[in-house]
Amino acid sequence: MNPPGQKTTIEFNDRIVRQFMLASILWGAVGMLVGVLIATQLNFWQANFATSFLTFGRLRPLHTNAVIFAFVGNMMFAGVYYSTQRLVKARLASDFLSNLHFWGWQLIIVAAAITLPLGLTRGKEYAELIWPIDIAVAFIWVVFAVNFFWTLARRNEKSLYVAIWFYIATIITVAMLYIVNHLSVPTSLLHSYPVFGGVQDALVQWWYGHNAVAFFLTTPILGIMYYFLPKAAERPVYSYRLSVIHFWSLVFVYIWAGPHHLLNTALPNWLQQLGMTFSLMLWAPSWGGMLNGLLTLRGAWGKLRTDPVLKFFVAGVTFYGMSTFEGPLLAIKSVNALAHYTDWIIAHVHGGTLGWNGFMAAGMFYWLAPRLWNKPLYSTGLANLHFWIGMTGILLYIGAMWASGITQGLMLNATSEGGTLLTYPNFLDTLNAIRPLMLLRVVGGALYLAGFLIMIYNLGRTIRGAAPVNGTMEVYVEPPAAADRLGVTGTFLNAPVLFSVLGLAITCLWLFTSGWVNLLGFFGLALCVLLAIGHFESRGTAWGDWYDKLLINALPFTVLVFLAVAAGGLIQIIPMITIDRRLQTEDRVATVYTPLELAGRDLYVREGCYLCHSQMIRTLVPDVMRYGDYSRLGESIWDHPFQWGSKRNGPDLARVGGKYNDAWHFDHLQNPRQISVGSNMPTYPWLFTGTIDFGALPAKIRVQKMLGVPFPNWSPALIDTLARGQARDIAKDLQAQGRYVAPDREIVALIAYLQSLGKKWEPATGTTAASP
Amino acid sequence: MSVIPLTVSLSLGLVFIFVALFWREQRGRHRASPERDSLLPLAEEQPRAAGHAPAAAGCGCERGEHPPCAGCRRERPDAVTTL
Repeated sequence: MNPPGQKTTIEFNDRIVRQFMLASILWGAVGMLVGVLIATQLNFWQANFATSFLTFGRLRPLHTNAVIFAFVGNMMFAGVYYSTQRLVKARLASDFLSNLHFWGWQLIIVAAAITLPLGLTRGKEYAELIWPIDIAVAFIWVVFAVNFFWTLARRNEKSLYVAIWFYIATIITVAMLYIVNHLSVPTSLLHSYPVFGGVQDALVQWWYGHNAVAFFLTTPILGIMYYFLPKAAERPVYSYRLSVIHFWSLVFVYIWAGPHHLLNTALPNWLQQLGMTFSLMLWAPSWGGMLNGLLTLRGAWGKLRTDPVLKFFVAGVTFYGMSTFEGPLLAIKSVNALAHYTDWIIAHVHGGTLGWNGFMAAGMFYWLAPRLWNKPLYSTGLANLHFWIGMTGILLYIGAMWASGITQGLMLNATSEGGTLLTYPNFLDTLNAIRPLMLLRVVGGALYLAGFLIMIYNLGRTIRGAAPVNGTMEVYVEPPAAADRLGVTGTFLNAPVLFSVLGLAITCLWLFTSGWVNLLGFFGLALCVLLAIGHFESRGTAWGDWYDKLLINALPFTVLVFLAVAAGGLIQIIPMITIDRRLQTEDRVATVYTPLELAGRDLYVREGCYLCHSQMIRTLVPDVMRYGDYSRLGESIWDHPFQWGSKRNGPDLARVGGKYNDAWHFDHLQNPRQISVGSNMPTYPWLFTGTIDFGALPAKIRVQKMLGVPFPNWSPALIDTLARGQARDIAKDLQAQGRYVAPDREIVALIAYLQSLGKKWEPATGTTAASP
Repeated sequence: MSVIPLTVSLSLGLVFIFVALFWREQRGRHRASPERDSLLPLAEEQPRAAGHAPAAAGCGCERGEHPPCAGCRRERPDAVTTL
């Protein structure tokens, strides 16, 4: 560390920023290209090329992982490293860790790009990567964290700027989410089962999934906004005090909203209500942040005419506002009943990713390239062209998906004859109604990609022939002041923290009790808020002084952020994962799969069937009329991973077992259009040639038993006998219906699994009544 | 009223106020303040060609890793300055 009283010149490590930026651009193009391909596949089934590693179910995880972790991830690291060094006035702590971070992350991306098309997946959205890669991700994330916090420890600027707060929240929360949701027990080097099953897995998954959006796609980009937008506008952020409220309310509230992905499902109602309520509360901090960003341009709106960087930033922040308006709207149960499982959700997601993430990334790249290579941007005109093509692409995309989602949602829910019949009983009618809109989505996505490619050309011409430069800054090394240390007492025993903890405790009392205790909670909360306001009005200076002091104490700040984000997860998840699973069954409890059905289930996961087919009949009349009795919690309690799904490109499969005979499934998987005219489902020829991995079943069943699934004490030999015996029966049945296949083919196992769906349960009372 | 004592008193008063405010400012300089913090992104910086000598030479003082060393001050006084 520098001793006090000296001025020194620091040269920042901008090499790592250049590397992350170029990697982001490369992977962004790849991820978006795959996105356009899978959008095309939904219109033209031939675009699956009847090839396993090019089929929709395997490429869709590649698209999401590439754009989230490779494109936005690398962009985030570039932005975080660039801005952090300048905001704390210190070079990154370790060149070695920076390089390890960069190359480790790229290696992970390459590993994902190989394994996902091969069908190696955990079967959970945005958490598909197999366990060895998961461990690598956790390790590299820790490297990132160490490098970041080490840099903070060596900083020459004592006070932490608002962007740094968002980075701190990102690092600790993503670590927490990723580790918990990826807890798995391996069955082999390339396969594992998540430790949570059924509703527990669903809850943990969407606690992770929703907050991957919050803390991977939002908070770091907000930090980037708070740094780069003032830079580009050449004026400080509109309201620094508003950013304090924006930050703390956002990180506290966001984490509670996960259950809104499971509205109207079998998830306990108290969790659904909690998810909906907190989602609605998110409106305020999100819009506070958006307004803070936009108002930073006060007096500088004229620059929008000439500066493409500001154009991208302003549009990006506006899309953030639109998406964060739409998100809570979709989290209202009645709106969700229409929108969930439809393209409306796809519109919402892409408003955020293409508009917010993509445009913020473009603005940052256009701002960084001339500074990192000390050369003016090659063409402002091309950057403007990129902006308008990209904007047209986004509007076409989300406009088409809004129309598509609402159309299909209305058609699926429509009833006639006084609500006794479905107006469109054939799912394909609703699919074919939205085909033109799905095609428009392809056009929009392709336009957006074209704009991105123009950016690559523009930046390439900017960089070509230019020598890279690193930023330098003269800094004054300030003496450490022991009096400013907060310590444990100073961190926790102060009015803001005490009022927050008290308020949260009383809120829980209000939310989770009934009768007079509930009333006590309500009035107690009102009193607590009034007392806090009164105290702030009379002793506001003390609150401000404490916060100013907190900002120069990185560790206490980080601890408080961790507590703020952990609270929501703990209150929602702990009750669900500690309670005996058998108590969360409603009136039905699942029976275990046969060994062959389990093998088939793993194939269902491998092919990504869950990405187009849900296994969750919601507690909604049209769902029940279309798919059968609503799904009970107990019917999926032994499912590791759960397969409730989040999108219905095809119909729900929760009760498809027994609905059709084996030959129907055989024909349907061979060529869906033989049976379902107009279907967009891919063909699966490789299932008819691939052989079932009988040898893996004992290890898989052993792991499932370890996780609490009540499999009988089958020996490996018995498992093999049972699996092969059932396979022979199915093959014989197929033969009787004129379909010839060897009993050891994968199609046989998949048929066994599909025929078990909706059949594997018994009454929760413990009686041995047969399946329905 | 005598002008001189009045002038001296007022001047001393101003000096006292200045000293007191300066002392307070000095004490509080390590604290954050929203007004000051909001200006942090706008700090000036200068570009330097990447692969510049300090990293290769292994001297961390120009990277801000340790205080300016005597050798660097002697050889490149423009690169490292000390108050």
